[in-house]
Amino acid sequence: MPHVRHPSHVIPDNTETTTPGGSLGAGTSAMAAQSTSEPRTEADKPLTGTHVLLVEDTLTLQTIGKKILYQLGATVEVAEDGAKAVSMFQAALERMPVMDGYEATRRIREVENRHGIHTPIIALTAHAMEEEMQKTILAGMDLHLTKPMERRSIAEAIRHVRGSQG
Amino acid sequence: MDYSNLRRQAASMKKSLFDQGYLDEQFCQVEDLQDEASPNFAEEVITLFFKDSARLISNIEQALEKYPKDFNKWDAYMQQLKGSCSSIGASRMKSECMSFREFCGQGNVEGCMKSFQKVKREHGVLRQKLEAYFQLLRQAGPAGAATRPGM
Repeated sequence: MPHVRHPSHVIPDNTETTTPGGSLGAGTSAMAAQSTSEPRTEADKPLTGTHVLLVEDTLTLQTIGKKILYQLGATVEVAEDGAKAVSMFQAALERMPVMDGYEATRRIREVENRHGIHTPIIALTAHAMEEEMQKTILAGMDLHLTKPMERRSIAEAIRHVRGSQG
Repeated sequence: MDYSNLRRQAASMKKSLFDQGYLDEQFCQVEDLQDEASPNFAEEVITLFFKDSARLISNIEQALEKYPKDFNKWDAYMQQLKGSCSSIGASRMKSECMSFREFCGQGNVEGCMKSFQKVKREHGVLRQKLEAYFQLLRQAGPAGAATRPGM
């Protein structure tokens, strides 16, 4: 099933959920970081204590993304499209149409507003074009990186968004 | 069995894959992810890549036939394939994917068709070369430790 250009998202998530199998989704991955407690950060594992939800529909990219995040010390779950990401985030199953990362972020922000929380969301796009950056800001994402996923930039970005959280 | 010689051969094979532009730096990033928990991580990822890419190529092939001149659709599928190629450092394949997408942008059907043939060709060549490379690596590993995942 084809899809239009979307940024990538990985949303850290603290709920215990199973990885869903299923159909093609947004073809994007996004990142956001959230810890429930002070992480025991070691030099080589800056994401210790962080639970991450990786949203990506291609198996190759799921595998590489998971490995990078594991090595950075995070625990990882995978959602194959934006709809699955939102339902996993809400820890409630809903029937939703397949959506892209921007829409997933907008819906997550809606849910968060009801609970007064804000999870950092980082967009991972193929390019750094003006139009895409506008879209990431309008959708409510906190930061923007370009693909391919690279260990150092991911670690720095997550440190940054975590640092700017209250 | 002279393992150090096999390892040298494997290193030489890898170097030539880089020199000839089949692979780029991203491939090293994937190899660098290997650790004690997954000592064969690179080979596993490459195996997954060829599963993914075969599927995506098949999707594109069908789309070219079933949806004539649907350049948006063709481009969307190729974007996925390009993303996969990029993630493992499949440099030549990535270039051909980009050519295809340019032809989509121009609305050039013949260009797309020709470019797609090149994508398939590069895919086949890369598969052969990486199979040979990993086979050599497996032989060059510790005696008796080699496993043979399907590729």
